[in-house]
Amino acid sequence: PSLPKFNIDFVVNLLRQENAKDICVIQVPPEIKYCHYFIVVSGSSTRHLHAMAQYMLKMYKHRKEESDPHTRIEGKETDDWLCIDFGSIVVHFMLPETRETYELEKLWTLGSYDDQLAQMTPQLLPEDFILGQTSEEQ
Amino acid sequence: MPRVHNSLISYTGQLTRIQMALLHRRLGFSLTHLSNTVIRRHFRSRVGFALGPQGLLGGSVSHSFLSFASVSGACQAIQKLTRVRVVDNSALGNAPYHRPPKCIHVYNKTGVGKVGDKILLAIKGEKKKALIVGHKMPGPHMTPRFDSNNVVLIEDNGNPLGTRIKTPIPYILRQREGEFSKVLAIARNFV
Repeated sequence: PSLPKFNIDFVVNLLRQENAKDICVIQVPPEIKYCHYFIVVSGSSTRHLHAMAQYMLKMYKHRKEESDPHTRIEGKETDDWLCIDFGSIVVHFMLPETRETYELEKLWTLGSYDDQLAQMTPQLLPEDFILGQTSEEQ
Repeated sequence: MPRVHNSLISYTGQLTRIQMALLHRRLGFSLTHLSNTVIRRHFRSRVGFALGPQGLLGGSVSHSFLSFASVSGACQAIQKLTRVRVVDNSALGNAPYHRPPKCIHVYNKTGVGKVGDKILLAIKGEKKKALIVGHKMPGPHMTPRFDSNNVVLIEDNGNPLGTRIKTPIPYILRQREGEFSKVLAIARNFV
């Protein structure tokens, strides 16, 4: 599902036109069969985020003829995190504070070496853990 | 097993051959049922080992396992009163509590929740919405089946409470109608 007209350069140019701050484009390796490019963008206010997302969707509909039916803005009820999934590109619009909390760039670039992931599970297997089936019943 | 059989025979006294055969069958069934239960419990313990949610700390280990391990088989995916496992790293999901998080409502026409449905959980005495990311019931062909009913906590506006998800998340979430891109964005592995 490669899009000949609506590609990554167009998206980035659009974001620059919209005065989006901190455009972060991450090229996702093909082993993770999620998308090709993962973009995180900051906006100055809620209205800014909504305006950017609406404009992005409008341009997408304008440029795409043979489409990709499912493209909608997710997170419209929220006021700090919106996102649009264009098949091979995913764009996230967040406020700077939200960006700090989630740190998506770190997760998608570092993968398993992400620090939040490492802090998450310090627990190991307990001592009385029984691995495999026990044959006590027989 | 032979010991129990003999004692029961002696208790019931004289039995015809048919009655004995029936008794043996019933005994055998109950014993295999029991063994299935125990096997299932240990199996679940084996697979759900990264049980961050229930707080595996030293002394409370066996308690948390017993509270988490159910002895009933997999029924209809996730419905009211199913105990679920929270798989993200939110504070609410990982804090130890004497009761496991339970589903109290499924936001669906049928009361059964599958992957991608929103449900209401009762955690630590609070109500919180959550998204189902995997259940023990086998789903459509070529979709993953998990060994625990996994759930990700969500706010009312759709933002996830936690910031990372370690367990695998199925790809079907992308095709389903709904707002899942955020949950996919904080996930680490896909299945």
